[in-house]
Amino acid sequence: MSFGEIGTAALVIYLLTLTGIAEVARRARKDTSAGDHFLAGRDLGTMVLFLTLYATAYSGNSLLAYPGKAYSSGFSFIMSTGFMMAIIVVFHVLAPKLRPIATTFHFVTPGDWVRHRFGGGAGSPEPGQRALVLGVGSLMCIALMNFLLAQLKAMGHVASIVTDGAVPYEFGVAGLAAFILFYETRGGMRAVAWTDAAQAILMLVGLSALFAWILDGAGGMDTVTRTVAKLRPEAVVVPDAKTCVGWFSTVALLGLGSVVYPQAIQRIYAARDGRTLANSFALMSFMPLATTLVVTLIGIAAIGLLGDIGQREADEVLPLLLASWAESGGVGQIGAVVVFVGALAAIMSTADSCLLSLSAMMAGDLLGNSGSDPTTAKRGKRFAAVLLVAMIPVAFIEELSLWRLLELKMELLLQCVPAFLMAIHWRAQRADATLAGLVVGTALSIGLTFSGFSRIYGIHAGMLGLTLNALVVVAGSTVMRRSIVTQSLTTQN
Amino acid sequence: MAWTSSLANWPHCLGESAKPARMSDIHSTVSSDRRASSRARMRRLLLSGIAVLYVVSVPWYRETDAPLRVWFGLPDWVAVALGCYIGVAVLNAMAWRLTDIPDQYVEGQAPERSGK
Repeated sequence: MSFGEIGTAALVIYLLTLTGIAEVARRARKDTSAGDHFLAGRDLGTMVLFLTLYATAYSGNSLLAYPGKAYSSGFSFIMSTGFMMAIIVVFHVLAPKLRPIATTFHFVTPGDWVRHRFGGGAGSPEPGQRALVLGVGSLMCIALMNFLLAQLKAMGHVASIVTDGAVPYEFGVAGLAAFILFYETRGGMRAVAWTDAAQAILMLVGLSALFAWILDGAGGMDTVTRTVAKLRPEAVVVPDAKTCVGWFSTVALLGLGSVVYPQAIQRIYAARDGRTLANSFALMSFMPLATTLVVTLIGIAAIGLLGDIGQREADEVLPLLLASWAESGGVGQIGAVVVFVGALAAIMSTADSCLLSLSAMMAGDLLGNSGSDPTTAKRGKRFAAVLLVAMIPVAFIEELSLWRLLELKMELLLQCVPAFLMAIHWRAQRADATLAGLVVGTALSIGLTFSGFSRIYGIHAGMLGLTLNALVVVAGSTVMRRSIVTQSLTTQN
Repeated sequence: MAWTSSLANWPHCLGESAKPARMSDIHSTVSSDRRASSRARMRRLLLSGIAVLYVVSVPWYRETDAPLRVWFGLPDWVAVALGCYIGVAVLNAMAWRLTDIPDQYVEGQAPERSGK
């Protein structure tokens, strides 16, 4: 059998398995509420929660782009293991405090927290609360759309590669998107979480097999390092001060930004209980070592295996390695197919989570529907369908330079940090100050990036935006608090 | 500290209850509060350890022109960074095991809400 035939058969088996899982998830549905559809009835156990967190956090980007980045940057890309681990560390600041309040007040979307936090208790909401919910929701939706679009494009590419062209790019994008929509609308978060679990296992098996093959062929890590030192000495030297600053900045950017991913926040809501959530996070702590470290070392080993392929080809490092593995025939051919299907699984698991969160946020936060409203789940399903239909033609366009705004995903998401990580700890924080910080921080991040200053001495524009954002929030909240106290004292007198 | 606040609540508990609390109940409350407090202290220690490991993982303190030394198949500064990240994974997993995440929000306990 040829590589394409094995790949097509594997793809069909994979999709049939997902169909079966989605059907079981649909039958496990308890009711038609938004909580059941978007959060699996808030009953995800440790293993499923852990695997869905894993599959969602490690997108197709982690599998396809990171080896290319490691190939270009050299050993300094070991920082990727650190920044992926930082996400689980930063969750300590949010999850233990957000979880009890989310379960007590039945949150479904991230906006529910913002609405509650600045809701003014029994009285009327704080000034700026509604605009803040909309602002946070809009930034999160833009970031998610970017993420979803990238996954749709990657799905088309991988489906075309794994079937050796039998499934054209456009058909891969549209067909697999329709498939995601099918299982998501039928089974909601339950189907997404269970398919994520299956996809995560496939991803781990594929990666481990590829890494074992590379190390075996290269003669061990010691030989890899010495070969890289000969071919590209700059890839092994101690990084300079600017790279070190960039390293710290990237750890902070990814650690803080990824914690406010809507799909991550919704998984905090969806856990069966607090212990389950803590155990899942404990397991997640080790996954950067099993995934990011492995793809980084694969990219570095490619320096010796592929030689100088040029900067433009760097993104093709993984496909090139897999092609040479497949050429070795037998186990290599099957192994390459498993990795490709694993990559497709990673992409689809991220795409389905993005779509579910997007539809929940559009129905809930942007339109202002309550999570307890029975029509919210129905509206969310309709939004998911409309969104996908609208995004598929965009994904067909290979050149997306007009969509530069969408590339600012992490920089934009980072500006939502004060509304969550600060607001959950600081009682005096005000909605209008948080909104002002969000606007100023976003404007600075976008302004710097579009002016060609995406980094200043290694520090990301998004981090500079967040710093200004946080300063505005602190100053604004303090001033407003004082003016309220003065006003109430004047009234009393 | 949590256990001292629970001691402060004794008279209040005794006043509200029809029967005075038994000494064994009081001892058990105090010892469980002590356990919770020592877990919280340990958790803070682990999180501080993680912060230190992150600072050490970035080779800002190394000379950029240092000759290549290979440790465990990796350049020495990479091996140090990786060792730090393995340490972070272990400490972070331990910290999560020590984290108590309540399932119900108790009024007056953080997180706070404006207007209260």
